Amino acid sequence: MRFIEIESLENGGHDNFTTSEQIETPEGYVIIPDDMELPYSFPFCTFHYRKGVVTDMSPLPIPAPPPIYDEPDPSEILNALLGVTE
Amino acid sequence: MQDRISNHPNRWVLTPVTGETDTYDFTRADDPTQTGTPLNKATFLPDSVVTAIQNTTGVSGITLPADALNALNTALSNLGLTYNAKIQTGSHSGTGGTTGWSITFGFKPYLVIVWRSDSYVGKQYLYKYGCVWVKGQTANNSGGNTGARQNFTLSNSDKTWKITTTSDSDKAVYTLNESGYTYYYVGVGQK
Repeated sequence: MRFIEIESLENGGHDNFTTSEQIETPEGYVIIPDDMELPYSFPFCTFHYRKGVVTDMSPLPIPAPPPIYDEPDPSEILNALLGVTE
Repeated sequence: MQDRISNHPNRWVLTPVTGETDTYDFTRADDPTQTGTPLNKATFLPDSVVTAIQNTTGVSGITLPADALNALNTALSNLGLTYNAKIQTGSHSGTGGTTGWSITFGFKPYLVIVWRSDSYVGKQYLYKYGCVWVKGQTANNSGGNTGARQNFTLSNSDKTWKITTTSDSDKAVYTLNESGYTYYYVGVGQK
């Protein structure tokens, strides 16, 4: 089963998950039919639903990810403190 | 139980009843080689079994096999002997969101493992690529000295598992929610 949250995030994406087991639809989510092809931008998409099931889905532009702070390797920190250079 | 095996299946002798019209006695004449187990009370639910089940389960008024089975099923349920391990797998497509994401299970998870779709080779920090959660755990501080990187909560009668972060930066990274990545999960628990 595939689920997508109805309410979108600030960046246009929708929370989502799949499951191998049959479960009740969580509150705030709807079911994506198994035979529905997902847009290339999933989970950035718009969609309509009826009776708890997505009826159509359209792609949205995928926002650029924010810059990531790359945590330095501990050995790099130690070498910097010791004044060790390559 | 045994089946009835005979040389002449379905053979009967009809003997007219003296003094009666159109009335006959039926006598089996199938020449059995094996008489088989009789289909009667003693076979399906003898009094001794009824007494034993009533004494064990505390259920009275057992008269039919269905009553006995229901009493036993209730007793097993009350003992918690309907336990079976449940496993659920699935995936999550990262959204880049900063408020975490959740999985709803069909049971109460005791163990949840999440991992990113790409390889771990050469990577150092598990919290960027996956997590291992066990029931009762509220945070994973494997990221080091800047406070809890991953926080975990349960809701919906403990069937919905959610990962969030208290980190001030890289929230999507720590909550295993980077856009463009697929995260797989497996959950093990008990219904």
